[in-house]
Amino acid sequence: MSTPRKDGLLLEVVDLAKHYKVNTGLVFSRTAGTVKAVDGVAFQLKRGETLALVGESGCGKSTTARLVLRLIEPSAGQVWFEGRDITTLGGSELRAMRRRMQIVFQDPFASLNPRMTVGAILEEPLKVHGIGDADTRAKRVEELLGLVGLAPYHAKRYPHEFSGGQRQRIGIARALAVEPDLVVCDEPVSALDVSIQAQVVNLLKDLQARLGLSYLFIAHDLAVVKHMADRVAVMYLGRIVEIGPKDAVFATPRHPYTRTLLSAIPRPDPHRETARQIPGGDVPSPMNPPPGCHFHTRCAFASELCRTQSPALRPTDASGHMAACHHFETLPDVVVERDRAQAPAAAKRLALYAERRARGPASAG
Amino acid sequence: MNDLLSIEDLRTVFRTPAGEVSAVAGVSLSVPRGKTLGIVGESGCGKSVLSLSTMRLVPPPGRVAAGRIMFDGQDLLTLPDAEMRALRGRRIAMIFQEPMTSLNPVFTVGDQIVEAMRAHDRDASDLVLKARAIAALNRVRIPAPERRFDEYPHQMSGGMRQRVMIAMALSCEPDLLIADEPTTALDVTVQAQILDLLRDLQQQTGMAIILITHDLGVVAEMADEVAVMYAGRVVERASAKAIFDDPQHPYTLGLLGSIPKLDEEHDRLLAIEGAVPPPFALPTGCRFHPRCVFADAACKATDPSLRRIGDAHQVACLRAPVETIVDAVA
Ligand SMILES: Nc1ncnc2c1ncn2[C@@H]1O[C@H](COP(=O)(O)OP(=O)(O)O)[C@@H](O)[C@H]1O
Ligand SMILES: Nc1ncnc2c1ncn2[C@@H]1O[C@H](COP(=O)(O)OP(=O)(O)O)[C@@H](O)[C@H]1O
Ligand SMILES: [Mg+2]
Ligand SMILES: [Mg+2]
Repeated sequence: MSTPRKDGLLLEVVDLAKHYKVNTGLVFSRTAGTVKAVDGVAFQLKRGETLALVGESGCGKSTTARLVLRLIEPSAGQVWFEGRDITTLGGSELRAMRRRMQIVFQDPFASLNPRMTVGAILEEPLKVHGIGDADTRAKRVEELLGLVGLAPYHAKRYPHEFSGGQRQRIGIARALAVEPDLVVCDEPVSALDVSIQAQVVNLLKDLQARLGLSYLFIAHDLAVVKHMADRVAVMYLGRIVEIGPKDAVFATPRHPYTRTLLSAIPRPDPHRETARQIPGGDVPSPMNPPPGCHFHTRCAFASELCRTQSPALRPTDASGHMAACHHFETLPDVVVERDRAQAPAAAKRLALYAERRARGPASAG
Repeated sequence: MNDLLSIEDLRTVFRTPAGEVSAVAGVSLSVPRGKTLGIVGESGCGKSVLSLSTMRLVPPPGRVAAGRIMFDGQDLLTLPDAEMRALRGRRIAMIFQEPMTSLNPVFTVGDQIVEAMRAHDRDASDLVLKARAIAALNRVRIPAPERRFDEYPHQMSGGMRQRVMIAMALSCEPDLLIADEPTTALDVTVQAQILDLLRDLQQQTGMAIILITHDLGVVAEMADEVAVMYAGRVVERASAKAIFDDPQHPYTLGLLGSIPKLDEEHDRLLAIEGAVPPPFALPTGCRFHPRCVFADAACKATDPSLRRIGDAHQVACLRAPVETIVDAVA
């Protein structure tokens, strides 16, 4: 492990872009256009921190993740990991760097080889990186299973014998096998039931506290993000439209798109009158994004300027909270409604539930 | 009773290599006219099998083995096939999670809506049906419906396809719409649009809705009544307000505790350990006891049935309300 940088910076992404040419026509294939899947994305991630990337499907989250891990080559930009631009690395240097960044995928079903035992799945990354001998690797597998709340005998089982939540635990254990510094989590809980999602979110938080991990945490559920993240970046059509400390983004969202996302979340409170402003229509196609601000076609505050000029990310205060909106200074204040206090009977029983859970031995889902 | 639908002790079984198993194991429910019943529970609890049973669409090797499904005074389970077919679509309609699998990729959406309408109105001319289909697309707020009429499903986004499904389902103004996770596959802003749409359409038409979801936020927003399902059973029934304000079953508590809240800072979410048992590997006694933090010896031995615990509030738990539990050993 190299010495940590003084500023604690682990990852810095600069002007990152990935453009895909899209062809049409089966016989006379021609380029129909370019999808700007990621279009000038920049952010920083500190050691031990969680940065969440949120946004609706197709906004470029997974592409950003793959670029950061250099699973695909960028069209432009750099990815600095501990002060080295990994987009320029090759051969053994790249391999050494890869060991320090791992990924957990959304679909625990598709990402585990059904023909391998869990033990073999967890041992594989160790073999790939030439770590240990058969004995130490077997010990490590056992340790990893314990780390994610599974039992040693699970090593002999196959993925199909596990529930969705357990498979995601296996995916997490595999990512942790080579002791990475950065774990990119690409929608790790999106396919799981809330009850199971909560187990996995708790596990990820525990592991971060124990191992000092940094997470690039991709999600479309803002409530989960609120729970996991230190900082949040909101993406729309390949660009970051708002970024900042979690509390600032949630309490004083500056970009109209962030406000839309927040107001769209169904709140678990039947007493609340649902009143929200959701722009009609769909997210425009990334092949033909609207000119100017990509969001202007769905924005209630759009002006002529928004239709022609693309807004840059600008600081909204000194806390690192930035928004890419021409008009954030003059937007009406948002009243972020708080949830009503829980009814006494519900609060009392949930407290009892929590007390019991804390008492009982932790078992794995 | 002013219930539009009343399900009594329904049992739906599947023949498996390991023998016959009950995916729905004695469920009773009712849906008042014009109201929304939310059904919640983790995946594998039997929600979809229950809704397919109501439509008499359980695929083999499954079959409804017992119970009654009273719809507007008649038992659907004893209805002749032809009458059931006529009722389906016209009076009870259904939409699913993934609209792509229920739309035929080789026909335009317009043709598919017209076909669905024709099944219930053989005398109408093509022109009349086309006009009605476009009106239906318009009603579900699809922009430029005349143009969309001629598009194929793959040319549409997931949200647009779900609107098409809703347009189709509502084309005959059914009395009951069964919506099985209609927004689970959609983005949150699209989900909000679809939920708003369903609420508005319910207000216009007075239809009743059974809304199946695993999202308690969606339940809070949409449902009047709630049934919580676990492992093929209903474990709690109450008004939506009572489910959130006065939750009784430990499973309901676990579901509520698992939701990350937008404006609360919790160190840990409560979660529910373990997973739903499949119908061929059910525990003894209460089906929830292996995952329950309040379970005791009695819960291992006795399978609790639903009992009344308040006004229009029922729970299937020996230990509810949990604050009355006094442990022998603390
Ligand atoms: N290999 C590819 N070729 C062409 N377009 C792609 C490719 N990969 C992703 N895209 C497009 O790039 C956009 C962003 O995709 P993605 O990063 O997967 O979004 P997200 O993870 O936020 O849902 C989408 O419009 C997607 O269709
Ligand atoms: N065709 C089938 N054959 C055997 N078992 C089935 C079949 N369809 C569903 N089941 C079982 O019935 C149970 C309930 O399933 P389902 O109703 O789909 O749950 P939910 O909709 O609540 O997720 C599950 O355990 C499932 O495995
Ligand atoms: Mg993705
Ligand atoms: Mg289902």
